[in-house]
Amino acid sequence: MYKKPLVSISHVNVDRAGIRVLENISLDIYKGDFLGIVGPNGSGKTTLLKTMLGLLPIASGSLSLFGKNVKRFRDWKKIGYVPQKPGAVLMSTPITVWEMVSLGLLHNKRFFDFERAKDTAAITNALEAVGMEPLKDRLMHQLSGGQQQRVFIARALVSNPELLILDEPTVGVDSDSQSKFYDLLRKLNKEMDLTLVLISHDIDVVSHEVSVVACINKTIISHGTPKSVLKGEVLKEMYGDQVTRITHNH
Amino acid sequence: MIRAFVAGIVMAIIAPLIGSFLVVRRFSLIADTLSHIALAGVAIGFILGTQPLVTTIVATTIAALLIEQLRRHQSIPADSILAMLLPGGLSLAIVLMSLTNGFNANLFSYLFGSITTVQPNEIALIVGLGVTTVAIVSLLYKKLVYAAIDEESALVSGIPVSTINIILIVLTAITVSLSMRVIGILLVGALMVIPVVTAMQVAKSFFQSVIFSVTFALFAVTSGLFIAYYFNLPAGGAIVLFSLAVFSGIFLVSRNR
Repeated sequence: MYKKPLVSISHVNVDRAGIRVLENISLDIYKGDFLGIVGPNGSGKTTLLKTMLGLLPIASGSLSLFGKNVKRFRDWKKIGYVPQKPGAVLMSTPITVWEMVSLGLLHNKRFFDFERAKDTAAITNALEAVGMEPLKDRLMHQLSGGQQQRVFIARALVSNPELLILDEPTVGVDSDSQSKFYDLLRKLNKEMDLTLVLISHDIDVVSHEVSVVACINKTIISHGTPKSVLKGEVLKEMYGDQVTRITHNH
Repeated sequence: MIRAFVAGIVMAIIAPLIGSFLVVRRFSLIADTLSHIALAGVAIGFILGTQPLVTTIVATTIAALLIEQLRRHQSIPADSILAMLLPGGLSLAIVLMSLTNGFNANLFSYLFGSITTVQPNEIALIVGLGVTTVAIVSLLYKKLVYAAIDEESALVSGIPVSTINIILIVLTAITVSLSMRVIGILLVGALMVIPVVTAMQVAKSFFQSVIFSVTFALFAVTSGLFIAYYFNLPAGGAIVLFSLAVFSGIFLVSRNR
């Protein structure tokens, strides 16, 4: 049976400051996929992610989200986004876990609109899904890195998206929290049928967790199951001749 | 004195309200930049023989939109934009002031505030714009928070971040213009920042921080105006010193807890 992809990228080129940073990218993401995008620093992983989210223009090619051209796509509640790291803003701003997650409902609202009773239920459910409901009144800067990332996932989940995109979500997170984090992602993918796209520099973790891998270094070098893709010659093409792969437990 | 109190209370509500979003964005110095441009707006008002408050609002709004346009293109860092426009606004004001006669007599009150500068015909405009500012912030509160805390995620959510930023910067320009009458150009920025930073020391949520900052500002403004009236002091200086006293007390108490 022919399945339409949720995200369809076809021969996309992206330029930044006159330099081609993504070249001839073609990639389809289907419902239920758990896609890991890996590559060295500066390979264009985050640029690809931002292009998918419509934050960067494409120089040529086509990109569609849920069957609609990205320029005309407006149904943003179908897509949840978990940014890389909170940044300095959160360190000094007194914002609670509940307030942070409630921001994820804003695209459901008209220009002037207020929080309603059903919003409270949605926020509670999202916090329970990530195990952060008991800490709903805690200030964000009082949480650990792993807890903050769970809150960002809750913010992305609160609108019941079909696609969740995560940008290097485990940077600065300890290994124990990383393990729990990937347990959560597995649960979201398998039990809630959520399509996941994960950008990570950690090839080994990605190879154990995801169902599909895309290796990128300005262009897609290889795309397929982790076993078929993450071979020596592919890694050499991505990282150069000096690469050594060391397996670790997360 | 009554007019000064009415204007002061309006200012004490809207300055920290807007300041809450500016402090989070690390854009606190925009108030000082716009206040220097406001002085040029006052000079234009005197040259044209019109209501200085109106020309001030127009001048600061135009400058605010220019700042936002430059900031969006990211070719110039935000702090550099402010560093250029702050002396630029003051220089324009100085040149324009040299063209007016009699303006210099009121310069001190515009720079540092005075309880006598609020004119009867300005009160309706001040209250009207103050109520409008509170209404807009209330209706757009969460969008303003999201755009301030995480602009990229807000964009992905489909929030019209550019429009929200323009609304915030125009409200900042209006707040600076209104606040100039009582607190003075050189100290306007302090009322948008100090109560907010004070509130952030003790608040248990962002909403609570906004409410506390307005409360602290109301205390500083009313106390400062009373002291300024009875001891014939510049209103702006008295208000800012009360603000700093509140910050010091809250800071010491919160650190010792």
